[in-house]
Amino acid sequence: MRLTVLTIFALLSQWRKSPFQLVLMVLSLSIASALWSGVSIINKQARVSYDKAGSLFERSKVPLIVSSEKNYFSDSLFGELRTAGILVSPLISGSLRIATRNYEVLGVDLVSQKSNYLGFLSNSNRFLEFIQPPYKIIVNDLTRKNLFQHSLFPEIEINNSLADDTIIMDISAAQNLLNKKGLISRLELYSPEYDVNQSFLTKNSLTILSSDSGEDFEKLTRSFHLNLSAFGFLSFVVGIFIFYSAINLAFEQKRKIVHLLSVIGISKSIITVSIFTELLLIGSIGGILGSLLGYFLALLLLPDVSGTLRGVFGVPMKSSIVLPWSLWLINFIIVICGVLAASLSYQIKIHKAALISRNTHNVSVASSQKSARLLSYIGILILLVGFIFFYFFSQSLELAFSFLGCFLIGFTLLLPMVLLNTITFLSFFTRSITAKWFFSETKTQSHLLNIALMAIVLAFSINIGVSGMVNSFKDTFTSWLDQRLAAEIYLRVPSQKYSTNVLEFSEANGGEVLPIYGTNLRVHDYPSTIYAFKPHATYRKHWPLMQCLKSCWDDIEANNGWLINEQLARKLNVEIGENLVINLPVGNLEKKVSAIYSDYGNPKMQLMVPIDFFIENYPQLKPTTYAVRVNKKKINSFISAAKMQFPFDGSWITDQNSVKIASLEIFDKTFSITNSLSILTLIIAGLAVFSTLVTIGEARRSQLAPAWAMGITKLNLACQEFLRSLILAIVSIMFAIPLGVAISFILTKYVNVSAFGWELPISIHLNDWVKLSSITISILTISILAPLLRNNIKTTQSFLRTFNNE
Amino acid sequence: MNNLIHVAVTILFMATANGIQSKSLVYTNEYPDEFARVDEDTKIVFPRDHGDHPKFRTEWWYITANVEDSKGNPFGIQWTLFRSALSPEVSNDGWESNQMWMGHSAVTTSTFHFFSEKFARGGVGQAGVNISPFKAWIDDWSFAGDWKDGSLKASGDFFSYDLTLSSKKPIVLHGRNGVSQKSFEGTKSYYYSQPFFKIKGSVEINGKTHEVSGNAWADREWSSQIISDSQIGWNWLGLHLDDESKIMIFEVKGDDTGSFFSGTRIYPDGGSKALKAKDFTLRPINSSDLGNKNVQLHWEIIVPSEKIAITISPINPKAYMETSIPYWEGPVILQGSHSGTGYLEITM
Repeated sequence: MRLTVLTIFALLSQWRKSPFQLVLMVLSLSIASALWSGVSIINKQARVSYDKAGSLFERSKVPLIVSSEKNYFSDSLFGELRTAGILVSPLISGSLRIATRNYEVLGVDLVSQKSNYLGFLSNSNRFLEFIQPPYKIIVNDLTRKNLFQHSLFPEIEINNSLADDTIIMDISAAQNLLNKKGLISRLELYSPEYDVNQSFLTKNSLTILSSDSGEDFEKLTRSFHLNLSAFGFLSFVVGIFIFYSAINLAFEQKRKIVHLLSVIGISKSIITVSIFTELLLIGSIGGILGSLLGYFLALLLLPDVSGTLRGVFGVPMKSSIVLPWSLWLINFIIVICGVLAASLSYQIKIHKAALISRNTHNVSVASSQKSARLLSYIGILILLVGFIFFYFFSQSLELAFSFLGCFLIGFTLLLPMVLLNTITFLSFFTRSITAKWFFSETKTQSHLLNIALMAIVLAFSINIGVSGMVNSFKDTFTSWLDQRLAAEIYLRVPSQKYSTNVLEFSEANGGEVLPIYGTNLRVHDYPSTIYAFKPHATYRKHWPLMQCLKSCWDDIEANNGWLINEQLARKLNVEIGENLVINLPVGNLEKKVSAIYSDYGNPKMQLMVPIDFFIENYPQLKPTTYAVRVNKKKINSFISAAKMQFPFDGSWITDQNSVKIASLEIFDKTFSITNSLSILTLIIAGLAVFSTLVTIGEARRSQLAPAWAMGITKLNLACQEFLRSLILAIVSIMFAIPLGVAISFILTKYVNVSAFGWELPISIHLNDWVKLSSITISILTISILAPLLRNNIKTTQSFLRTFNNE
Repeated sequence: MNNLIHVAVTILFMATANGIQSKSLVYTNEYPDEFARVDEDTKIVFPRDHGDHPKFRTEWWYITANVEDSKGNPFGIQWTLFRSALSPEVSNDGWESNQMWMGHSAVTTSTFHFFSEKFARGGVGQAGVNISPFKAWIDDWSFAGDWKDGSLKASGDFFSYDLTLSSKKPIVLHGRNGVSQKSFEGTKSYYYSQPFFKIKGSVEINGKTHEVSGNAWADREWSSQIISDSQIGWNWLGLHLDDESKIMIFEVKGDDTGSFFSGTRIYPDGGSKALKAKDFTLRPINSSDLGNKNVQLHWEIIVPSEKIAITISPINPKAYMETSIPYWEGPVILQGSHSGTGYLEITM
């Protein structure tokens, strides 16, 4: 036992000689675990947030009846609907300022709620406390702390699944608190939508928000979650690459001392146990540090995730992180397992008594070729598996991601072979001995840098791929917006009673008014939306048609053909020219699909019909939103005159440009988390190169010492080392570009279609590649230069010492 | 004066998990002096007392009917609306109303028994009672009319009914001028019935419509403390005899003190006579096994002074109401000195 302890101390003491390496190793370990744990935390947080949004507000499952004109409407409509046999339950929501904070108050009626809200129905006492004075409220712990100093709520129950600053209470208490007595915000609808009397809805200016958003919500959250998981996985792979390289290379440094220990008679088992203990110790420190780093990383990225969640789902995300201990534990265990797995090869070597061989960095070109070939075979095998996934692709998002994963890793494993062959090819053009030596050494170096370079390829190609997809999306979205937002001005009249006045005003001021309105219906049992359009040159000229028959607009305007969106076409698997039966209030209608339009960003299925036909089907509906075509020069004067004439809320009238800016802002937020993560992986991969070069520095010195002894200057040698690494890095980046393009292609053509239901045209942005390549090369130049400055040209003594050791 | 145990349900109608805990609120008087009390000097007045009495803790509007289709197949119909005040102060203003409502409806045949349950808060139009014109409702279930002519509607999973009611005979007051004693300790309720309703209309079961007609019995009862602390349950019978007379009998079961019996004999012309325990015997003949429960569904009733000696048995022993607090309620047939139909309710 004592001997083991002493051996451990002896092993640990070695780090005093190279503390920098110890730091690097712990750091690389921490980074590997930080990336994983950070993404896990974000993932967990995101899931909690949208699960809560989904379940609490039941937005994912229950259709809602809301006012088409106002935020609140009379709660007597609740009683009217219930007595008409329509099962509804009221909700009131509103903002409440207490001291310096704003709270979101949600008032519910547990009696008519069909779902077992927050588990109330199983506990009568809780139920009674909730619905009777002094009205117990439900908030999360943080909100309770904020509310603590106020005596407004004498009874508080904690439920940490709620979002911050959200207060749930009985509807009567909420009405009083919000000063909205007799009013509600919405009704949850449990009866079938078609049971609700349409004229009742019209008479009371109510509209049904179909629960179809629920299906889409689930679909979108699933894809968002998968997106995060995929990035988590990729981050982990990159992290493990760094980690594996660091741990193996660092322990190469230990060969001398291990050799010494075995020479003085310490048994192999004691050495193994000691190394194992040392690994556990380093693993633990790295794991703990990593988990902490992960926490801060998550905090750093949370605003981006929050932006994405708000942008895509309209879900408020909690600003604070609640971290279950299980997540810490799992992260820690993963790190320890990673440490043990990564050190396995080294342990085996010790057991095989390979201690006599002093330094494995002195690899032969032959052995590096052998290992490169082996990796290529594995890579090809993984690619094959990927293509099998591809074959069974169908519409599965999971398979799309699996294919992407296989493609990425399989292709990356081909890198060592590509590097060796490229160097061999380059060396053909050289004659001088020095140049031959240069390339031969480059091959050796490529073997040592393989793992770090693979990390670079992964990170860089992901960056190219993701930016390609995002840019394709953005290009398409922008041009689609330009087409869809063809009108110069958009109006949303607060109530139908003002519509006539506003329309008269618009026409008197030279505007041509195009109403925008629609309602929900089911097409082949899929929840869809039907919109009315007024036949006008604007649509013919601007509407973003993907496919259309020759006379499509004539047909559509004459009501002889359907105009449907891409999502509906895909869902029903119909193409233009094919007949489609749609059930409308006037009966089942069969017409050919005349045109399909792109409808990016809309998760719903949609069709458009001429306004006269729409009125025939839905005479009770009246528009409150309009597009107005005016002369571009008159936009500003029109808006100011309209604002003067109608003192509605400021946002009722907007110009085209503002809508575009707002839409693009949402778009940018949607991808902000993806961008942050991909850039981060790039920086981490640069660190992998740096740590590898630092670790192999000494070994490289012994390789270079003979050349120095033969008269090549230290500066020359350092330059050569720099060039070698740089050439390898550049070749890797060039290799990664087509891989990135392929990833972009897979993301755009398959993952997007599976996740969102629309296909994007791919656009290539060369300037993006140049920008990304420059960033990557800059990161790599720093990563290569820094260890060189530290190791290679430090002192003459260091070279001399190499011979001394010999 | 039907269904006392449902007071428990109405007061704590969500008390499914700890069901019997609700007993404490029913059998004891949580606000002993604050709710209104049954006063023998206060006369029942119509149509005022068809409406609700929010100062009292609880009340109900209860209709049971025995009907037949054209082939003579028997059906049982139940429609019930319960009101319960959560606290003594009367507040019926919007969502702040402290009045809670619960509805039960059921259709029973010899092979099927379908039932449904609804809950509502007072003050927001979802449930309530209008005096003039009279209408008691919860959601789209309703009992409306002037207690001479009326309608009865309800629906649930797999069933619905839409029936009309009519009667030319008077309303019958139970006990002493409508004040009905329920225990040896003197707890009591206001209680009256219209047992002479003729009922007809359509009943839909599993999508099939049946045209039916028969007899219906409407009960009204309200109080703030009906049964005493020592009482634990309830058996009730409302019977239509073949000579157009009626009889109502109930037994409130005591744990130590023994059962409290009472009843009303109702003659074809609407005249009535209160029955005390000594006037009749009510005796279970045998019990039926309802899975995990043994329920006494076969009874013998003897009223010597009225020359009544009958046995009653259920049309469908499975008429078990698995509502928030379960009970047995279903149509029965009678044999012996008289034939006829009726309804039996047993709380457990």
